[in-house]
Amino acid sequence: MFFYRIHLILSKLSIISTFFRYSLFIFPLLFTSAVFGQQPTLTVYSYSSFMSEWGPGEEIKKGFEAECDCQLKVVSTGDGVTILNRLRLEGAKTKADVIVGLDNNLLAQALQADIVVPHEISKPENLNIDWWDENFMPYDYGYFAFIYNQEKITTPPTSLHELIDNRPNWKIIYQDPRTSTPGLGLLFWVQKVYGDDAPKAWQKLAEHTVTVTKGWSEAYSLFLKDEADFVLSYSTSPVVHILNDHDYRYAAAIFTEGHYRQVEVAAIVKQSQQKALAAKFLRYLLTERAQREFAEKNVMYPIIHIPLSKPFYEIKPVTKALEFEPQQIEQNQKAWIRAWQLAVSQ
Amino acid sequence: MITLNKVIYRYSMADSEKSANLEEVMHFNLEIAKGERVVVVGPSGAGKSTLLNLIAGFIQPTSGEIILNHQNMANIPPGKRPVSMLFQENNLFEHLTVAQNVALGIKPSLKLSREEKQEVIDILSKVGLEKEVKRYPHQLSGGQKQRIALARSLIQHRPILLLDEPFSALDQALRFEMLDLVNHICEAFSLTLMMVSHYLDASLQQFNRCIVINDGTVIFNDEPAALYQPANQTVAELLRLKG
Amino acid sequence: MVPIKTLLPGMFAATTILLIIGVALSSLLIFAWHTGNIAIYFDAYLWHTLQITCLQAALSTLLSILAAIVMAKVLTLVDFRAKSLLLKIMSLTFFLPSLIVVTGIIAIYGQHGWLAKICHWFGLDLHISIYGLQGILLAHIFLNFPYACQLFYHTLMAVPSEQKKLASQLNFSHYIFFKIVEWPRLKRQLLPTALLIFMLCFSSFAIVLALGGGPKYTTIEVAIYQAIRDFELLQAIVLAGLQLICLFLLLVFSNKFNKNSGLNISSVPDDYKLPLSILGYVVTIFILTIGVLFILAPIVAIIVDGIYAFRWSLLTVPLGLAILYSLIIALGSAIVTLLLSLLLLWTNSRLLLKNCLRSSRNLMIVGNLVLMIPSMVLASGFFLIFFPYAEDPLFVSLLMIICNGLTALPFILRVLEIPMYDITRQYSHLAQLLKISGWRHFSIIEYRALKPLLVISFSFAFLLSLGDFGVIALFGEQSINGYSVTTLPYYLYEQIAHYQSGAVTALTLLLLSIALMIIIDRNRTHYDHTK
Repeated sequence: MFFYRIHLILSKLSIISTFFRYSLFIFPLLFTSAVFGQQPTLTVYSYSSFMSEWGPGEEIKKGFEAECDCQLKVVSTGDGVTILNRLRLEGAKTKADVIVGLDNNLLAQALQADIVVPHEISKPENLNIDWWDENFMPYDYGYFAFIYNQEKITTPPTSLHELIDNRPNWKIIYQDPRTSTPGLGLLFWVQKVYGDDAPKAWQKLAEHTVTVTKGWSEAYSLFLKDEADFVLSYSTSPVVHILNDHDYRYAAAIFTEGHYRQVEVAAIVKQSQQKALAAKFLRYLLTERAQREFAEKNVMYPIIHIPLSKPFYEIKPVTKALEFEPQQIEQNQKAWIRAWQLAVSQ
Repeated sequence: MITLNKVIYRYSMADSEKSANLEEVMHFNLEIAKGERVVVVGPSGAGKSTLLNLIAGFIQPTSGEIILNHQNMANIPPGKRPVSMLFQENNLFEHLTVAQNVALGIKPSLKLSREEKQEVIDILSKVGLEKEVKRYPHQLSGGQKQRIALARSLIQHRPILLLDEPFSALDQALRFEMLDLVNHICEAFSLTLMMVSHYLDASLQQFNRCIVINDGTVIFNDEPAALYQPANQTVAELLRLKG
Repeated sequence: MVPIKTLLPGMFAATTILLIIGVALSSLLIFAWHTGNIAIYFDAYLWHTLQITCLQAALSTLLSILAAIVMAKVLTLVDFRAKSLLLKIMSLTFFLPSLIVVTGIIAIYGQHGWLAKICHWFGLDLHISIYGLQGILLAHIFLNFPYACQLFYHTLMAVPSEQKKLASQLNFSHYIFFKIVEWPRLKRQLLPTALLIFMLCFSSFAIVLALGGGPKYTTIEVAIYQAIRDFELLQAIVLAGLQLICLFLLLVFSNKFNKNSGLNISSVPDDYKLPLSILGYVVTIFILTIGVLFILAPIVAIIVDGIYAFRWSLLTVPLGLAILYSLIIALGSAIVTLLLSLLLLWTNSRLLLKNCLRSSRNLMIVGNLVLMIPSMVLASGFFLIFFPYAEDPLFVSLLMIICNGLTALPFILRVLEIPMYDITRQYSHLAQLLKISGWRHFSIIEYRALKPLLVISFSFAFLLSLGDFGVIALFGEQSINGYSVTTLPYYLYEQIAHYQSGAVTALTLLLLSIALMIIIDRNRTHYDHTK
């Protein structure tokens, strides 16, 4: 996520020290055997943007290692779907202790695969949303929304229907639900709002679609390059522009039907030999320091109530959350995707 | 009939070994009467083919004038000149039949009337190939191919015939036979002939006149027998003629 | 009988190839079964994918060929100073990394590309979207038309000057000359060239992924990638099978017609041009200008944008690493390709010499097998077996070396097959007399005589691997603590997102490719001279 911050962060890094670190990594076998020898190692499977230079992983790893007297080994592998499939493949042989980065749309599949155990962490008092699960611990959440430039669009749509009916002929970019989390979010969102009429809605949307991109970053940067009027992202996306550039032009269009919600979760792997350490890590994810990292690097809402930087309070809030039951998703997701493919290819 | 008046032709040649451009200059003054049969000889690279290309209009002189049939040829394209020309090879289009190849001399579109078709057959019989009309060039011998090409030149009804070593690829007996045919045709159709050759044998005697070209200019212009006179010893030595 | 010693190298190479492909395919099958993810969709969308794959390939081919014929004809009509340079560039765009093509196309025809800017300057507001079929076609034509054009040009130039002179004496119009003289010559070359372009467009991946604009315009190759990413392995195999059938039919079809490739025709030094009317001249110059702009603009745009966007701060460690990984992987796969092709051709030449045509053909089919199996399928097969090492850069690099090495094999075989046979035949008796065989035969005869060709093959394989974006699309996401294998094309793909900073990466990749192409060109000239 948030690829375009890469240059900011990169410029802060000293070239020499980074190169030293990277050069070590060219000999991975040397590196792994030398460093992971002594202390206990907690292996975390996560999606690839977690540990990237613009993700929250680096700080969280540092913070946790400082207080646990252990090594954290974060294995990044694609996205939530890839994590899940990888655990399925590895079965009993998996080295993973913790998984970070599944979301509410994958829960049924994960339960069915029988790869996690209850985390036994009690529900915090100051929880931000009414979402808790005995197996999967939420650590942040957000709402999918369409972002627009307030200087260009003066009367934004107030409902999903208005956007899809599209009288003013707005140009829209969104992501492929097969390869991108927001894309999948939109699939559920449209399904939730339109039900059986979803294919018709997709066809209408297709008439005004500039392109359907593989990932979030392509879509968002095309939007920033003025190739479209609306881009699918998160309702919190304007925060980044305010934080980084004091740019108040971008806003999320808030819809009366509500917004589909994504809750990101972490869990302890069934095969883990270090369940106590794993639980400790999960609890660390709920600390104010880790929560702030998630909020500001992932640009999502923290799961517990903590004071946030000003921009989070300056953006328009979502008033109604939409969500499918995990079972419904598990049963229908593939059919919905095929229906979408067919609808937009006509 | 053919007059070259102070014709100068300059061209630059990329020299690959010295990677420099060399400029060559050729100049020709020439007068050939109607019905004459002229053979052009000389060392290779001397400018024999250039002379023919100038007359045919494939290249333009830098200065001077070329007059054919009392008409100045400046700015007249090859197709509009009273000239037809044949080469050592590639005179026929491989995927057209013999008849079609000849018919090109009448109309490039190949849509011939009945009379024109008959004309093609007639001209083919003059070169002795009326039975081969439906065949393709690759089915013919080298001598046959040149006869077809000759037939096409004749059907164009152009008074000047230029031949650029057309029989060099043929064996000696065939070559003399073809020369006889050409002589015969030139007389029958009263054509003016210029033929480049590199054979310096008895065949020279079949022509009215012999032109020797060296270094881009005419150094000898007389009847072939004169080559063997003592006065022209330097030319004979250049050509390595044996007396 | 052919002695076992001569069979061994080829057998070894063929077995290795078959083993690699077999292991990859069976691992996909086993894992598909193992994960219980055995859904196969034979629905309307699958047929849609197949139709679009064929449609875009057919259109790309048709338009490329048409443009190539027109441009080739135009090029024969005029002479200008940079013509030979232009022709060299045209023979090379074919091998440009597809993501470079995408970057160049976006830079010119994008919403904010040069074309839109120029139109805006003239007060025109141009709103063409390059996402969708038009984008795919544009990129495919850019990639393929110049290559076809320079092939056709050389064919047209091989028309003997005598025939052109005769044509002008016989008052041929340009149309009749084309119909009677040039077209029959082109016709022989048309089908093999069209089939090659069709096959490459058929299995196009990066271009379709980047410019396709969503599921409406997709190819089987992209669908395979999607299926593998979703772990719908059986679906991936079904798609790969479908692709294999299509390409196999095409290959059989093309072998039937591909009798003379008609390459290496040197143009005649004594050239004659048919007279051209003023109008004809104007039209010629007009078409020529458009053609030259079409070919050069994207390349120039990448160079200019790259220089314009250049800051020292953009020479980041990730870029350096991407270059390093790209070079290491390309070097490795070039070695693999050259090794395999030499082993195969060593045996092949001797089989041909002994007139064992059938064995030779089978051997070559094994070598060309990879052409029909998407490297994505190969890579994911191995990926599944070696899952635990998937984030190990060493493993990923090795895997890419093998996959890219195999992918380049058919192209290198095409370069080396005939020369290897010719040289073996030429010295066959001499070698027997002097008792030169085995390694000494290679070092004395093949290595010395074919050195420029070997350098060409090596650089060619290097170039193909350098530009590969396929396998890495699957593996770029795997990392430990944030570090992963990144190649230049993958880094560029990540950056196309914010294409300003991608400019430097694109420039780097382009310059590397051009350097390799210069090496190839130099050696080709050298080889032609020594021949």
